[in-house]
Amino acid sequence: MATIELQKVEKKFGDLHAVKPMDLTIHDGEFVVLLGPSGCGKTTTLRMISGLEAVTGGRIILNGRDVTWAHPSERDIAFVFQFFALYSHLTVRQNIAFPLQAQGESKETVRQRVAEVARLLQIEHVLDVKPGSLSGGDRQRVALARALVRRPAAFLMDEPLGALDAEFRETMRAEIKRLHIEQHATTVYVTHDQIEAMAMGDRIVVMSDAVVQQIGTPAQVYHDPANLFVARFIGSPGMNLVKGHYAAGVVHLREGISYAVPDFWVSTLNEALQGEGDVILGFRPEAVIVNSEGMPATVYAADLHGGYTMLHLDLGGEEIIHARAPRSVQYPIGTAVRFTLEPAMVRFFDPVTEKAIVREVTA
Amino acid sequence: MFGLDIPLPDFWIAYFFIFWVLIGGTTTPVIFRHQGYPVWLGVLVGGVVGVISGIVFMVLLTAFQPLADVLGDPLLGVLVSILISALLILVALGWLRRFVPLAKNNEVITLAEGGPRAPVTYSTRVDKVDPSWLSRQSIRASVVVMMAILSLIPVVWMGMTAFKSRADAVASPPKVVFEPTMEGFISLLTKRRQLTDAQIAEYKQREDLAWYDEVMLKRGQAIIGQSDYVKRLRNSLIIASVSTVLSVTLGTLSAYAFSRFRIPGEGDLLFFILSTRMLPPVVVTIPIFLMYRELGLYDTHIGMILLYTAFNLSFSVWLLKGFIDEIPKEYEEAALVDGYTRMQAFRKIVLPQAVTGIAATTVFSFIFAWNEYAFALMLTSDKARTAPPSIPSVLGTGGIEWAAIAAGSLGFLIPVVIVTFSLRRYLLRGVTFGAIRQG
Amino acid sequence: MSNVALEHITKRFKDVTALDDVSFSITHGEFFVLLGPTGAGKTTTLRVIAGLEKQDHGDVIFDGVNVNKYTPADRDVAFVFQQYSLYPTRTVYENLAFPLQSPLRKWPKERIDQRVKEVAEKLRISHLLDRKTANLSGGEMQRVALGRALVRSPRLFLMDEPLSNLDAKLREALRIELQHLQKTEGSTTLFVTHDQIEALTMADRIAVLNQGRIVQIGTPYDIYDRPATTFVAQLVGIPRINLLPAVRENGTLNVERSTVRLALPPDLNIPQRFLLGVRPEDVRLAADGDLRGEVVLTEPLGVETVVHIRSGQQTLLSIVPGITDLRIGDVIAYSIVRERLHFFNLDGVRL
Repeated sequence: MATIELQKVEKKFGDLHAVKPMDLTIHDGEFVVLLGPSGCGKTTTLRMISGLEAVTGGRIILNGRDVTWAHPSERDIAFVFQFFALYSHLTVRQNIAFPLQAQGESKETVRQRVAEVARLLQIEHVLDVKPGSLSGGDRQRVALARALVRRPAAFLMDEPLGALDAEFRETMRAEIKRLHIEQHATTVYVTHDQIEAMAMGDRIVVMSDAVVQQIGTPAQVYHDPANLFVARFIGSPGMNLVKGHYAAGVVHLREGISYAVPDFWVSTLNEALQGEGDVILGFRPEAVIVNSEGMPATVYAADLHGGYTMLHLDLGGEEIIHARAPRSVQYPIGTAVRFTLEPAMVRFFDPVTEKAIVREVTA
Repeated sequence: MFGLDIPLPDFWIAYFFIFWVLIGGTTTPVIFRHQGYPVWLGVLVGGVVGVISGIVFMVLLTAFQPLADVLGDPLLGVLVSILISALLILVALGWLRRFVPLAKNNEVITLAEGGPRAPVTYSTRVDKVDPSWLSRQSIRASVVVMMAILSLIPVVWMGMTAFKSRADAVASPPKVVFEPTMEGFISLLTKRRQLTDAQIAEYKQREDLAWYDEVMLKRGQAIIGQSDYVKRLRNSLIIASVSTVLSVTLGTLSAYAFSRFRIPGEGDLLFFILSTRMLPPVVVTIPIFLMYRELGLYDTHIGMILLYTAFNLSFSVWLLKGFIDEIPKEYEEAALVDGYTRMQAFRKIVLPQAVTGIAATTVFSFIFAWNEYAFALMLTSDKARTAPPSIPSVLGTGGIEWAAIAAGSLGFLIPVVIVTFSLRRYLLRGVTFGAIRQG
Repeated sequence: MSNVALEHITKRFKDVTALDDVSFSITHGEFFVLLGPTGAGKTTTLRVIAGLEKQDHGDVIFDGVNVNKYTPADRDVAFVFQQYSLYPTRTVYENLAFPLQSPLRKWPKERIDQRVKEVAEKLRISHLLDRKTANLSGGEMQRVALGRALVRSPRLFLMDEPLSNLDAKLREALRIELQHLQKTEGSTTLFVTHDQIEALTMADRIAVLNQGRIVQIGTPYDIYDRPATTFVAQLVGIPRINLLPAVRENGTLNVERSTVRLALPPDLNIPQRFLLGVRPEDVRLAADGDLRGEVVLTEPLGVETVVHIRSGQQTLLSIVPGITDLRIGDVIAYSIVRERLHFFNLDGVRL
């Protein structure tokens, strides 16, 4: 497999930055996800790694070899597209064999490898069918098989599950992840769906507007988002972010609502805000504990989310926060409730820089 | 020439010069365009480069002459000279590229270390940023333009012949440089009678002769009136235009119906419509001739219009159905739901979007109707005869008047060229529509 | 607004039956969702109601009046398509005004202008009024499409998967907005989707459609807690429900080809062989759990982690809150919540 290194890789069109200079090291066998909304630069980055886009700054190193200017075919990578890109006039078997034949492998090798990969992806029963008659999930399996059969140094996947129905997406997600674990293949995966990124990634590169917002494990980007964008983008729904004013250990959110900051945060906040100042309080829906004491709010709406209820609480002035609640209790619209926050799960952000206020954890 | 003893006939020298200018003039614009300059500048500079290469070629040819004499093969000298001159052009182009600076106001994409040195202004796909790609493009451009010019030579020749005198038109070797005259046109458009020598002398005395009379007098003929050709041309125009308008209108409506409504036996109907085009027209001329004679449609404008419309309709329906299929029906359905009638939805929503298809269909229908020969010949005699069958009759009795025929063909060509040229954008779309769909 | 009823609608296309005896009714002001996979017949249902398709049998009834013979224009419904409903060469303003300019309405210019501005304000697209629709982002385009429907105040809104083409985050945001809009306007809405989260969160009632047939109609709670068939059970719920073949043996329930054994309630009347449905949130990892299994995959989603547990040859999905440090290959103890078991016969029907 392979290590991929991006050194100050940049992509400009005239004065427009499609990707601002970024550094990223992908280790051997790692599953890295490039995550972000449309137009953030994630697909462009993937295409630069694959060689379909010329780099306007920086270098790309594959296994110690500088491949910045190597042809896509010389980079030993396999690309899986969103819309499968299968040849509709060839059978599945011929589709999978195609890359090997292009490389000039012997007939025997080709036959063997195709059979191996078909067994792995459980598509042996459709080998002699044309892709046109297959379901979306099967087609994506064929596309994966075609990528796998070459045993490349790395796999690059551009939103491969985007064209599938919701039910297929879940199963294919687990399949791709299982495949990755078995093959121990270095994979770079692009998606706009943060659930996919969280479920599959060893590390996630969150991007927005051509800039890398944060690189971290799912746990890191979920629990310790580096800025407001990551906090909002990761999680469905994203983190609740409420503006307030901090002074003397208490954050005043609005009229009558104050939050007593947990003890272990006080010194950090004092230092970051020089005693007092505006701050944004962040907490995820599962951090909200609805009970009879704490901050007041009114129930604005309640939705069923399957195994739990999502409460939308109105803090006044149309500031709505989302809270997870067990289904056992019913909350009619208009009910006055009180809530507290799980201390370990609160976060703070600077409203001006939008960056997270980091608490130094002394062991 | 230039004091050199070039072993080629004059007109061959001219041709070779043209050849080199063409090569220069087609490869250089690619570079200039790439660097951000307008194409015409590239053509100009390229032309100059071509002329220089031509001169070099001539010099080389003369220099190699002794060698060729020794080897006994004259062609060898020509080939070697061509090769060396071509090499020189390539070197010159490469040199040119290095020294032609990037024009201002260009979107410059500077690439990273290790890539091509010069900034690029076009695609940034790695394989297209290769320097060798540019040279391959230049060669491609050159080849394409030359082939286009080669194909046009017959048409250009015809155009030249139209302006030649009778003698020039049949000269051998063919005359490239000649004195132009309107003799052919006048001969085409007028009826004349041959004058005796005495009458010629008499006419020469007259003061009231127009310029065209003078021209014909040189031949010894006097003009007595308009020829039938003008009438024929007018018939062609009327019949082709009306049948085109009819077939496109009816075709659009039918295509819309086939596309949007579920018509029983749709597949069969469409095939039937197409099948009318599968016949060579000649096969049905006799039955139609008999029918027309019975109905009194023989040699009438209406008859020809009806026939051409019927034949064009099949093509129109098929072509337009493809275009209308591409327009998502959600647009009209939204309008229907909003309270518009189907006709209004068709007019306001589908038609504007189908304009490309309609233009393409119009061009094709017009070309067919305009050029049609077989039916025009068999089903008309005098009143409704169109131009194509009448051109051969210009051939005349006293020898073939090539200039007149060329003039007739040229005149016939012009309207089609105008129509096609003004709608050329739509034609390209018409040829490639529906080819690629997002999967 | 209005009540809408479909009675025994059947529609065939050549030899494919798109709708087979579909009946349901929507009350005034309700947000009714048609949920089903692609090809289930949801779009065809919408089109029949709008009058864009003619049904082979059955009646469409608005407020007690049979509208079978009415043209789409006369039915006073608004359609929001998944895409292609905006005219690309016209501005947003022109697109919004178009429905009001139809000859059916004959509104004066000022009235049209006023209404367009009003709706643009509501959907927060006032700043886009002069832009050509081809230059809008996906989210903005769908807002304009919604605006086009809103502008007429029709008696019924028909929405055909309007959020499907949007980014995940955008979908979330627009979903909440749409919900809010519907509640404040009180518009009767029929919303079609294949996304079960959209269905569960937005609907007052849901009708599940499969291959042209209505499988179940009910509130989101009904659909989730008491799915009528395995199809419905698998359709809603993320991650999917665990469906395991099982046999009844002497008062215990044994899942085939696995080590899962559960004590059965004594008065349960089920055949010997059946399908057991357990939702992942009812598979609890507990140190004192009576069942054992091996972890084969973990999918951390942030708020919870999906753990794939292998027992014999069956795999069960379980949800664990937060992020876990379980690794692949770990043997763990778990239990299954007895009270929320779903029983289906082998044909997939709820017992």
